[in-house]
Amino acid sequence: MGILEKIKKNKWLAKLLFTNPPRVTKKIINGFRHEKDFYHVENTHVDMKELLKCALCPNMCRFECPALRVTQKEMYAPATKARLMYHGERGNLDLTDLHTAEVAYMCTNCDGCREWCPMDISTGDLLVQVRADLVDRDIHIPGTKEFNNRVIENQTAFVPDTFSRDSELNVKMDNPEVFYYTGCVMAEKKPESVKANMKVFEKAGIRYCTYTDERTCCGGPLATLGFNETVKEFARKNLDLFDKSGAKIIVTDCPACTNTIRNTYKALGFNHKFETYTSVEFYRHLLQEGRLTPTKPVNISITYHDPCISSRGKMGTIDIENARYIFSRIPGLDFREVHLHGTVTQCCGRGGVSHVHHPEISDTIGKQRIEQLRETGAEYIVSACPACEEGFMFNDGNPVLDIGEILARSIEE
Amino acid sequence: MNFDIVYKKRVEIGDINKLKTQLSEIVGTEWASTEEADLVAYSKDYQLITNRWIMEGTLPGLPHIIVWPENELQISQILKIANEQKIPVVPYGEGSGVVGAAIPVYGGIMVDMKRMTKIIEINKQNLTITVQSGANGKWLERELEKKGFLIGHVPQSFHTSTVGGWIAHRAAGQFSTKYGKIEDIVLSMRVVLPTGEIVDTKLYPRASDGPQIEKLFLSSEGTLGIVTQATIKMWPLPKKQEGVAYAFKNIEDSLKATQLVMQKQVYPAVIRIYDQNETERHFYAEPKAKNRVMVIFVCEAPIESLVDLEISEIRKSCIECNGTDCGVGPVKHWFETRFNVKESSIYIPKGQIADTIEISVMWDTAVECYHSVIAELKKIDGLILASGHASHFYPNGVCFYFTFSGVVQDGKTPEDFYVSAWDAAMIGTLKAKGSISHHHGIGISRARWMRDEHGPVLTLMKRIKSTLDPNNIMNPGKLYDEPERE
Repeated sequence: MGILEKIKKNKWLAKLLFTNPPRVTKKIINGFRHEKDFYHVENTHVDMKELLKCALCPNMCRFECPALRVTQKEMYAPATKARLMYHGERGNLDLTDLHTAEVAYMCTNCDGCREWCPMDISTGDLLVQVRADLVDRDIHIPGTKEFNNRVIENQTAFVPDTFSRDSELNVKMDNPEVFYYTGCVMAEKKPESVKANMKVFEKAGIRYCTYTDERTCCGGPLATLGFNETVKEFARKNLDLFDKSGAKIIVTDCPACTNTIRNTYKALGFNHKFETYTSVEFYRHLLQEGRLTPTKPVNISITYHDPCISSRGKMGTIDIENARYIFSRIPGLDFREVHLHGTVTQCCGRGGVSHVHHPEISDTIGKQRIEQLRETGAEYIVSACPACEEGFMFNDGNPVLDIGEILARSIEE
Repeated sequence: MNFDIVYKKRVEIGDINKLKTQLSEIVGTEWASTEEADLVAYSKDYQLITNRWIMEGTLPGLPHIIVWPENELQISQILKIANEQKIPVVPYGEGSGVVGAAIPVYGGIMVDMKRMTKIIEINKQNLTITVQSGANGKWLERELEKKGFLIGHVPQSFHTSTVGGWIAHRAAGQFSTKYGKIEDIVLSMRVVLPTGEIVDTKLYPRASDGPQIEKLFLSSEGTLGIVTQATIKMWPLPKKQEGVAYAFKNIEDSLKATQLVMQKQVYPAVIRIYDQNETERHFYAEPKAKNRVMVIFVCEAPIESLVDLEISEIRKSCIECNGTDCGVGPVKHWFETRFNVKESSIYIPKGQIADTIEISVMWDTAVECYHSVIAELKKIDGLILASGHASHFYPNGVCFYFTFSGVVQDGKTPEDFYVSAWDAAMIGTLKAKGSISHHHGIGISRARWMRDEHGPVLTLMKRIKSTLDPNNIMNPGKLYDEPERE
């Protein structure tokens, strides 16, 4: 909105402010001046002004909150979570009481709340900030600190196994065009998807590297849990590796990794200049530029689960249309749209690393989404986020494919 | 926890652990809580003064225990225990009520209905849906939409309110001029009475078989029992929707135009009249609306020609009352912003005390009533905003929806200002023979005006209440009487 438009919009407010008796106007101005008194807190990561705004809302986004839908308790409605954490940050509630602190983690960071917020607030983002305060105060709900320690030890979200160091996945070459950053989940749990993506890159003539033996977790899961110091350490390592590789473009098979490298690293002070793409974004470019032409019919029926992170919130809506464009280019594919899709996609349950600290809630959310996807009658669930795909597979949603696998199937050998 | 409490006069519960054990045996240990954060979560609803209180570190009320039952039998057992031990019970849906009706003013047991959300039956022949009362409006809409239906009841709280809450407050939605208010939509219900009996009212399209008991629970605000299930109407999705907007010289002309529309039996889904202040606030981008009163109409139906006919008749009425056609821009703007609730978040931290108050009035004193309420509000020291719109229409009258905002003057508390504004609106309404609430209910905010509203009928209401709830356990301190504080 331009300045003129803003003036026009707020003319009524200016009139109200300046057509009162002086003592009333003085009170109004005082109110504006002392607003901070209602949200000021020393030494916090939390944007307290925004947290209070959220806390004062009647929960207009509550219907979209998967954590609330599954727990069915008022404490876990978005604005109520904000209110309780506002009281916690202000010292009215005791955050060392883990039942209270747990409120900050009853969120899958799906950003469904922001989608409906006229103030563009993500309750999930605010809760991530609260989690960072809790970490600073050494307050940990069960599972989170252990997870952080495990990732530090293994440099990946999982115990190290053969996949991430597998020679087939570990590609190095001189002057690569692209650094294909394999997400921990994809590399560990879905190596066949990594191979499919590699096939697509090769078919499109992309010079790429993976350095699976040197890469570390992007840190995204730890960022959502508030372990910012670990994320900084991982950011340093990964950015050094990207530099070393010589690639200028980073393509990830996990939109959460893209977000971490594109946005979180910068927010933590790492101002790198790498171009970052989700695989979906990148594939659309390849198709549009004619570097890739699907010709082989893929005669299956699929439905598509839009991952939250690349369909709303932190990275906008970039991949909603991109994914559908890719499907439209694949011959023979029977694409069936699920009722709630695009910006109103539903959480898979894996967001916010919920399966680490609240596995039952995470799995129930995942099962509810699988049920919605199955209503389409499609044979396959397809997504573009390994965490979503892993969650669906874990919760009996098979067969589940990554969008890269569908594209790879449409390419002649 | 470290809070002051506004409603301090909590009942004394001898042994809270014993009560928790008793209730846990009914609902399961996971579904009964006395944890601090849980009690604080249920300490308020959306009565707007409570937002000021929480910023000051003050809780409106504090329940002793929260329970989350999953069926009527459990609720029945809970109420029997509460009745035996004379413990207050407050039913809770999604806490979006704006008159304080869900605040636990005497503490007690908070019964959250969120686990009861099942759709029992969708009957396409009867065009009805039977659903449990904890179901959220938007969730229900999505479920019906998939099957090609809608409920037509879309209050602004739609995203954050339940079927039970709509019934408890006799709610009205944005599309109510066509689809009806909740009393037109609900056909039957299941209620757990304060003494634990579970009753189902009969499902019929209409009957002449004695007093309509189900109507008794509409607007009872949880004081007569807990509604657990209802059969409500649904409609096929419309095939056409069209809107028009007209600007008028003044509120009188706009009311005349809408009265004409209603009395020639055209029932648009939506009609909204915004007075000059609100037109300036909401429709600043529309040049034809400058210093005028904006009216928007939305018509929809499964038959396209019906919409065309309604729109054409609306246009004729507006032209007859010297309205200026503003096209569809204002209608689009209304659709885009109709669920935007952000003023409280923005202005309450800036020290302003604000609220909205809806009332209803017959056509013959409608204009007088609008001016009367605005004039009374403007008398309040510190008031900076008094505006209104009309949001619901009938062949016989209209609902006005007023907004006030102001700052607290020296020597007064925020609540003093808040109460004086509410009183002003009530006085202005009653002077013009209006009714003190159209669809938000009474709760705490209007309880002191019930005698002026009803006269001896209030005594009758209290007799019904004491017959059904002899120990006054169901949501005491609301509707009939103001809560005591100390």
